[in-house]
Amino acid sequence: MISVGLAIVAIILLGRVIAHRKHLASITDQYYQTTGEIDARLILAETRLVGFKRKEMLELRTAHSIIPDLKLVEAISGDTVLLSSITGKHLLLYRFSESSCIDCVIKDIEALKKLSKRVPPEQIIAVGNYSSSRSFKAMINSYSLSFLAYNYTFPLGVPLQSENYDNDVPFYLVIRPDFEVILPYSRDDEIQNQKYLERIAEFFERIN
Amino acid sequence: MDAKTSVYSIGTPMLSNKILLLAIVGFLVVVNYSCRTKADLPEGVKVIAIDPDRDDGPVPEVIIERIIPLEVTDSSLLGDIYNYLSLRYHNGRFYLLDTWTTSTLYLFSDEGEFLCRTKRGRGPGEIITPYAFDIDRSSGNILLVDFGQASLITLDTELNIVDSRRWPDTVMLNDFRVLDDNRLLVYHDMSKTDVSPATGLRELYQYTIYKDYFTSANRLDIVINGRNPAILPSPFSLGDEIMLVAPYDYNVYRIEDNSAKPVYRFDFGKYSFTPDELNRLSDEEKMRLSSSGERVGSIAAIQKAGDFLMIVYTLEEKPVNVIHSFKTGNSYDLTRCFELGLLPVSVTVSRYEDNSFLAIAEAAEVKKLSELSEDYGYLDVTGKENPFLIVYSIKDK
Repeated sequence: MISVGLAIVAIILLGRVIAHRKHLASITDQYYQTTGEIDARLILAETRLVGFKRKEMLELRTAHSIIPDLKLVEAISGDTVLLSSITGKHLLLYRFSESSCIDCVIKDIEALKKLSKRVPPEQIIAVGNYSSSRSFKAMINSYSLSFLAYNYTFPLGVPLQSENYDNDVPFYLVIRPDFEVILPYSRDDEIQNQKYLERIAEFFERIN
Repeated sequence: MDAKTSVYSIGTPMLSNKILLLAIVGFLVVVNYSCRTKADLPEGVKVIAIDPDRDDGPVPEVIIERIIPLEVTDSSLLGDIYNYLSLRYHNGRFYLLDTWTTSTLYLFSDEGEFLCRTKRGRGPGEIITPYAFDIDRSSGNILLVDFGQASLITLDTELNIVDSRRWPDTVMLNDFRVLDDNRLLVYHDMSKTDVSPATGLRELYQYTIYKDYFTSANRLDIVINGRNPAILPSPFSLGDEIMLVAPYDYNVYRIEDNSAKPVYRFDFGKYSFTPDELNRLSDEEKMRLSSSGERVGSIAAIQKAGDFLMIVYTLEEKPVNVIHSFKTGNSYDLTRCFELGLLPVSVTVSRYEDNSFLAIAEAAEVKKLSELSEDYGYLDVTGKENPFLIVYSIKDK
């Protein structure tokens, strides 16, 4: 009798798990269709996902893959490279701009420096959007980074995970080898903080 | 004849009335215009007239005395020079504070050689968020505001930290100037504070003179028609003088002992706020008129060298650089000097010596000057990533 009961409970739980997964898939399929609606829908999707306590990365669909031939200028050497030439593995990309809150950028870069002990430095890049290459180089020179930093002048075309839709908000994202963008899932109050980065570190430790 | 006389006799009083009316209107116009500039004009205040519409005015003689490239090393690259850079020249050295890109104070020699910089960080001898600095002329030391530590840092001439003191929580320190007798003129950011219904003044005041490291305070208010405006600029150092500049009525005050004495008033003609507008309009309405270009809003900067006063004001949200001659009363639009290749496009940030201004320009602008003017064709900016310092003086033509 007990084993029959356990089997019934197991079947019910299995059914719920399958239902959860289908629901998650429907949410991600439903909510990442148009670039214009992505931010609001992402927030909505996250809000729903909070209930599932899901500790995985949210994968954005192909409409939101990053441009492989994105031109980046390496801060120190000034060499122009294509993003495709520095991918191959999952890449943690931290982006910011010259109008970003400088204190935020300082904190983020300090956090990235700590993170580079758990994520291989060659899998981290800082990407800034500065109008002056000298300013960008000066900024990068003032840190001792173990990873490379690049400047770009065109929008990356990826959404932000924040209720603040200002495109200048600093932001971390993960790029898969096929150039699709992955955003770590987290609650709003975890965005940009240590838990958020912890999620990224766990992800890289798992895939590497 | 009678008819003509009649007509004439009828017409004469009409003509007289018209003349009288015109005279009255003319008088009122003159009085009104005069009121714009002279109303409540304190004794001894000099009115400086600037005509924003005059774009074909005289061009002064510009003498570029020095063009100094700032040395480029891995440690001396500077950030955005137009928005977040403070520059002072003292005892043959240039002090540059980059508050945004690198959060660092740099020291260059008179020839532009990089000497040293502050270290950024949270450890001993390091600075987190430098925001403003001034030079204590009595000791030669540099006082630096570090927001990150809420401290006033004292640096020696090699930028080593020799003292660090937290300021009291009650002090909101955004910018400051070192005065004599161990006093500091502190500029507060008061943009988010409310106006007291009782006094009409904002709760957090604008400027305060503190003595002996904030142990005593003397509040200074710049009041326009009984109210202090929402936006006021930092103090300006004009050689040994320290000036405060009010928006909207464009009064310039000089710090004397523990008070601010009005010394100049700018008159922008029809672009000036009238006394009625000053009294009637809210700060928001004044800002709207300033943004639309109907009135001059705030004065962004003033500098003085010899007989010339440089004024940067905003019209239609664009900065306008004017140099006024105390000798001739002429006002020169600096933009025309840029266009004519007399001076590279630059920002005049300070005084170099008694009679010369100190400006900072991007290398690309120095290159343009070398292409525009044969006199500067020899300039080579190859490999010079950092900005150039320009020392120049002005002469009336």
